[in-house]
Amino acid sequence: MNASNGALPPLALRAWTVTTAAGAGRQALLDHLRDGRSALAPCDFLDVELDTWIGRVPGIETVRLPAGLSDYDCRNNRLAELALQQDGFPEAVAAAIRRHGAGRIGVVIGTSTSGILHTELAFRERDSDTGALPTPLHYATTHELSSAPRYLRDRLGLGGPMYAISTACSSSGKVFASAQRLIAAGLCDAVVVGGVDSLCLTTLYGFASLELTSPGPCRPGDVERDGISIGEGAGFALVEAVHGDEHDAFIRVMGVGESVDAHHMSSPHPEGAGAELAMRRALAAGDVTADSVDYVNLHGTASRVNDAAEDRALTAVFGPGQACSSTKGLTGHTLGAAGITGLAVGVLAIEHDFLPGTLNTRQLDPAFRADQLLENRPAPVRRVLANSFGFGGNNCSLLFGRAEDES
Amino acid sequence: MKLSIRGVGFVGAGLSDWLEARAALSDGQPPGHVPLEELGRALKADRLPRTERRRAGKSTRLAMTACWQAVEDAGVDPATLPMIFASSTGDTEVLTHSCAALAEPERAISPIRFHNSVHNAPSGYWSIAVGSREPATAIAAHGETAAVGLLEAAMQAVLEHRPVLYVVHDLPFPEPLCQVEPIPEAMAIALVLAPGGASSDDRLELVHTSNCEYCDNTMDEAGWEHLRASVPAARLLPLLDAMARGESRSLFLGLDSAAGLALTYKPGESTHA
Repeated sequence: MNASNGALPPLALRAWTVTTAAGAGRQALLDHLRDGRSALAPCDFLDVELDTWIGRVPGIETVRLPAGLSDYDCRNNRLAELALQQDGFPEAVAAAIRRHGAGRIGVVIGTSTSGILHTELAFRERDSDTGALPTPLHYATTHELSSAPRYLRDRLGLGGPMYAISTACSSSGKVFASAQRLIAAGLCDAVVVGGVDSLCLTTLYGFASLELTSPGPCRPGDVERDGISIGEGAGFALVEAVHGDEHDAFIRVMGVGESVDAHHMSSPHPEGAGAELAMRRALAAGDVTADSVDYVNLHGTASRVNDAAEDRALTAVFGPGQACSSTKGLTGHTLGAAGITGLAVGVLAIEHDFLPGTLNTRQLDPAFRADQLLENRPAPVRRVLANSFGFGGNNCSLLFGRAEDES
Repeated sequence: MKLSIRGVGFVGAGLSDWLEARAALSDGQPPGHVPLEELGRALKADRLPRTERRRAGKSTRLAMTACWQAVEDAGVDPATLPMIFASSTGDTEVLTHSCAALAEPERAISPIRFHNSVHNAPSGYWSIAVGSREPATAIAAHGETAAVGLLEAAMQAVLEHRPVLYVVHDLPFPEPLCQVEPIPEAMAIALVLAPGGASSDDRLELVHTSNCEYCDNTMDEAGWEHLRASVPAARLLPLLDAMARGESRSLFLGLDSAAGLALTYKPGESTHA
């Protein structure tokens, strides 16, 4: 199933972890998914006074970075460190270093705002006479967009190519395409990919200025949906080429579909033209037909236009009745970490044989034609498509699934 | 990875296009200087529709000015090209103004400033202007930005057997962030890169290696060397210098790890005597 149409080769998922408002690690997200329990709460972030709910990761504030890496200290890298400690991820990377050598392992991480909060707070402390910032600001290791992948490279001792992808909310979907390329081009044997995005004033007040934040917990696909709930999150995956001897890895990332809308900077194409193209490209890259996809994890932010456009795109690709849901009502919209969060939900669905429902949604928009689940549904899941769409009309669809028996 | 360079665009250091830059580099002239606040007037060639031009930040207009030159030089339909946009700084004015506004009691951040703050704003505006639905990425890696952006562009061209548009662009920060991240000059460099290439093409070979002993990567002229060392996008200047002079050259774009990208440039046989 690989490369027969010139597509990039599939990736074996050797290790992965995720941390969201549900808590640190995979089990916390699985428990919330199974219980149908939202992790959203009224906004209590710093001194922010906005009438909205957020998905805040518990415990970031008390995380301490390892000695020697204090220049990286900011909320975003504390979240990265908290996420990194879960599910045996550092041990899996250490094993990969023994297999391949540190220089053969790259790191590509998606983020939308990186450690900008660090700079936002520094601006509050400016000297009233000179306007100077208060303390030495470690710009490259906190605010700059590659702060998180640079932190991971130093923290994990990796020596391969390192970069951030920052295409707003599609960022941590697209990192998988870069990993495919780094491996296919022969530069890497393994790549640490993922996304890290943490709460900051820019996104909270920015989305509020666009009147895109809901005053309550977001309700994706609801006929009365009224905006998003901003969340934060981090997730990492260790991916390698498929050799057939990965006894610890039975999930394959089969294809990544990328597109842009060429329509508007902050609104999706009304018919979901770019989203449709991303999904079709993911299916083509994985060389599978639409009817073999068991579940679609929607971008599903609960903004009025996004959800409507995504339903149209989904129907164009799959026909009416495709099983799908949005899990933003559980985690909130984790922005630059949305792609890896969608992958995490989908892998849990595959591992535990259930399709997760959409939380907080009471009455589905009657115009929608997909089968958007409101409750969990037990069913075998072999293949999943996860969507992440962002500002600038930037779209990414990830196709992944259980390894075929013959591979 | 073997590539051909089909088109080039340049803006920055007081030079408005690649023709001016080529002349300055090959004649050994020092770079000029345009302060950030005067940069808007120098970016007449972004060709955005009037509404978008009012909305777009300088980062977008800087990148687009170089992109138009490169696609016209290549003679390709820009709507067919995957887009690899790389920048360390992003839109420094938007980021600085947002951080300043968010430190005030009103915390007033405008919708346009917010959507202009995303790192993929330039590729978003560009895709709208040229009507492209091809994949677009936006990359950052501080001092390694130009190298890994070029790497991603090369991989996309070679693995997917098609030409791509690569642009790397940076802006100086206004006060007070310029104190912690001093970037002396705005610059954008755009290349249309195609896989393979005949001897008549400008060719570029790219190898990821830790062996860089034989590679020189500095600029002879002190002013250009200062820009190369201090503007992330300007790390590509030695390649442009070789292209301007029509000279074969081996270059090394260092990464902060032990390795880097070794570049071998050979000018096309028909274009330079």
